[in-house]
Amino acid sequence: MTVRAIVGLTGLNFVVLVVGVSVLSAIRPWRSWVDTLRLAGVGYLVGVSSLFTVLAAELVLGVPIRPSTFALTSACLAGAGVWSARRRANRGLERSGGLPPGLPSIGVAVFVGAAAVYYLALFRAARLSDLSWDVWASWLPKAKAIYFTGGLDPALLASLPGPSYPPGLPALHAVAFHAMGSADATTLHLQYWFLGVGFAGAVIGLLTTLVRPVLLCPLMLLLLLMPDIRNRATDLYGDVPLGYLVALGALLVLLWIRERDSWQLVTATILLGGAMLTKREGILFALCIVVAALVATYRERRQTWPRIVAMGAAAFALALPWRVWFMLESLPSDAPEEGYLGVFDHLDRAWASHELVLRTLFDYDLWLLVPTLAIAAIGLAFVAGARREAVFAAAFLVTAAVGSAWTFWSNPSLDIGVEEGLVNRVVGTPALALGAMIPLLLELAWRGRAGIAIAEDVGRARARTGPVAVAMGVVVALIVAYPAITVAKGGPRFPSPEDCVLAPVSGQKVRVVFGYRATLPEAIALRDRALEVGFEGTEAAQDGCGRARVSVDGVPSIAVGQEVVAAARTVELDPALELDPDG
Amino acid sequence: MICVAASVLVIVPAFVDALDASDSWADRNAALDYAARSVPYEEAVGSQRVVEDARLWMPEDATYRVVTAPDLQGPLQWAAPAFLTGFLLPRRQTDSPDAPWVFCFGCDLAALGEGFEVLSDDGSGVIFGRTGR
Repeated sequence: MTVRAIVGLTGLNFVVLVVGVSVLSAIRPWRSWVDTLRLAGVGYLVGVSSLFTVLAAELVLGVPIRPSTFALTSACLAGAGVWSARRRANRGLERSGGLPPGLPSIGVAVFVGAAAVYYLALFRAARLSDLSWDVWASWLPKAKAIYFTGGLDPALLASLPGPSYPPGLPALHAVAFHAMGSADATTLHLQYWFLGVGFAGAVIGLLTTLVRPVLLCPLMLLLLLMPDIRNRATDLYGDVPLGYLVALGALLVLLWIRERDSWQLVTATILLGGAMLTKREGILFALCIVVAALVATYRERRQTWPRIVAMGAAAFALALPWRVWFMLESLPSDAPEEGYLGVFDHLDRAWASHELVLRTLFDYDLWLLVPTLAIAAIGLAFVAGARREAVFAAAFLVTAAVGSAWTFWSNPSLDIGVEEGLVNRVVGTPALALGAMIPLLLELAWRGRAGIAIAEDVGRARARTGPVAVAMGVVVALIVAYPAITVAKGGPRFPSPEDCVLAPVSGQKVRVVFGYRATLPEAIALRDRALEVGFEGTEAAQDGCGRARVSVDGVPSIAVGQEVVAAARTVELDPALELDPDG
Repeated sequence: MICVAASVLVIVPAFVDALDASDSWADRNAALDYAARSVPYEEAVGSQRVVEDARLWMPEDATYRVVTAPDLQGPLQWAAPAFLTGFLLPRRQTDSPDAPWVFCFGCDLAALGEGFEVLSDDGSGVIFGRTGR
C-alpha cells in the first residue's frame, strides 16, 4: 500500500518485459526498435508465460523461489533469448521491416487517450482493493507459502481448496511480494493491472499493421470495456489472466493460419503453456484452439496438422512437470468430480449447461456486443473469402462454448445458474478471445479477396493521416486531465498504521498512549512496566491498524492527560496524547 | 461499417459507465479500514478481532491448531482453516495436539486441558489461546 511497493512492482514488471522481449527475440528476430516496441505487449505476456513455466519447474524440482533465484532465472532466460537472437542475426536471418511508416491521426489519438484514461481509472480503483473469498481461501495462502518458504508444501496444498491448481500465478505473486518488500496482497491487485495493459498492448501490437485504425480502435476499446472483464480485471483470481493468455494464443494461431510465420505458432505455444499453468481450464481452452485450427486447415492438413498438434503437445509438455509432481504427491486430481467420462451419468445436466453458457455468452450486460459482433465478423469474413480464418473463429466459438458447458455438466456440485458468478468467469475467456479476433476478421471482410495486401494498404492509410503533434497533444491532454481531475477531488491515500493515531481534540476524551508495538507480547511487557510504576488502567490491545497499542483510555480532558504525560516522563516513560474516539 | 458504428454507439455510454464505476470503487476502497482490507471476513473466521489478536500474539515461527465443535456447520467448518492459513502465514497450521497455540470454534474448552489460557474471546464463540505445555 506504499509508494515503495508500487515502485517495486513496477520494477518487477519491467524485468518481466525484458525477459519476454528477449525470449521473443529468439523466436522472432528483431527487425527494428520500432518493431520491438510494437510487439512489447506480446513480449510482456511471453515473459509472464516463460516465467510461469520456469518457476513452476523450479518449484517442482525443489529450487527455492527467492529474489536471488528469480534474478538468476530472469537473467538466464533473457540471456538465452538475446544470445539466440544474435546467433540468428549473424546467420543473416534478420530481415528489415516492421511498422509501416505513418503518423497517428487525431481520431486514433482520441481512442488511445481514452484507453489510457480507462487504465488510469482502473489503476486508481485497484490500488487499495480488499480481497475476495477465493483469494483468501486459496490463491493468497499459496502465494504467501512460496513467499515465506520458497517452495510448496504438499501438506499445506492438500489443506486448501484446489490443491492441484497450477502454481504459475502464486509463484509470480510470491516474486511480487519480494519486489514490494512485504506480502502486500492489497497492492498485488496492481500486478493484474500490468497484465491488462500488457494484453491490450499485445493485441494492438499484433493487429496495428494489419487492421485499419477505423476498425481497430473502436473494437479494441469495446473489448477493454466489456463490463465483466472490467469488473474482474484486477481481482486476484486466475480467470482474467487465463483469458489474456488464451486470447492472445488464439489470435496468434489465427495469424499463423493466415501468414504461416513459424514465430506465431511458437509464441502461441509458450502462451498456451502459460495458460495451462494459470488455471486448469487452460488445458480445455488450449484444446479448443488446437481443434479449431485443425478444422480450419483441414484442406492443407498434411502440412499444417503436424505443426498444430506439435504446438498443443509442446504447450502441454510445459505444464507437465507440475502435473507429474502433484500426482506423485498424491494431491487430489484437477479432473471433473466424477471423472472425464462421468458426464454420461448426468445427461440431464447437458442441455441446461449449454443453455447456461450460451445465455451468459450473449448477455449484453456482461460483454456488450462482443460475441454478437464476433458472429457477424465470422459471417462477413467467410462471405468475403477469408474462409480459413472465419472457420477457425467459428470452430473456436463452438468448441469453447461446448467446453465451457462441459465444466458445469461434468461437475454435478456446481449449480447451473448465474447466482454464484462462476459461469461468467469461465465464459470470459472465449469472450476475450473472440473480441481479440474481431478486428482482423472485419478487416479481412472489408478487403475481401484482396486481403493479402492489407499491410501495404494500412501503411498508406496511415501516411495520409494528420499532424503528429496535434495527435500526441490529444493523448497527453487526456492522460494528464484524468489524474488532475481526480487529484483535485483529493490526493491519493496511502494507508498506514498512523491512520489510527488521532490528534487530541479539545472538549473530547483523550487517551495516554505509552507506545505501539508489533506484537502483543511486546506490548504487554510495556503495559506491565506502566502498571508497575502506578499507571492503573493501562491496557494493551490491537489498535485497528495492525499494531498493538499500550494506553490509558477514557482520560476526561487534554489537561488531565497532560498531567499524566508529565508524571510518566518522570519515570522514563514517554507517552503521547491522542484522541479517544471510543471515550 | 455497421459493426464499427454499432461499436462506437456502445462505447460512449460504456466508457462513461466504466469511469463512473472505477471512481466509485476507488472511493469505496480508499475508505476501507485495516480490518476490511487485511483481515479475513467475519463470516469465514467467526471473529476478526480474535484472529487479529492471534496474529499479534503468535511469533512468526509459531504452530497452531484449529479445534472445532463436532456439530459445527457452515463456513466456520469448511472455510476457516484455509482463511487462517492465508492470514497467519508464516505461522503454520497443524493437526498436532502438541501445537502450543489453539483456535477453538465452539469447542469444549475443557478438552484443551487445564493449562489452557484464553488470550482472546469476544463472545462470538471463537476463542484463541495457548496450552500450558
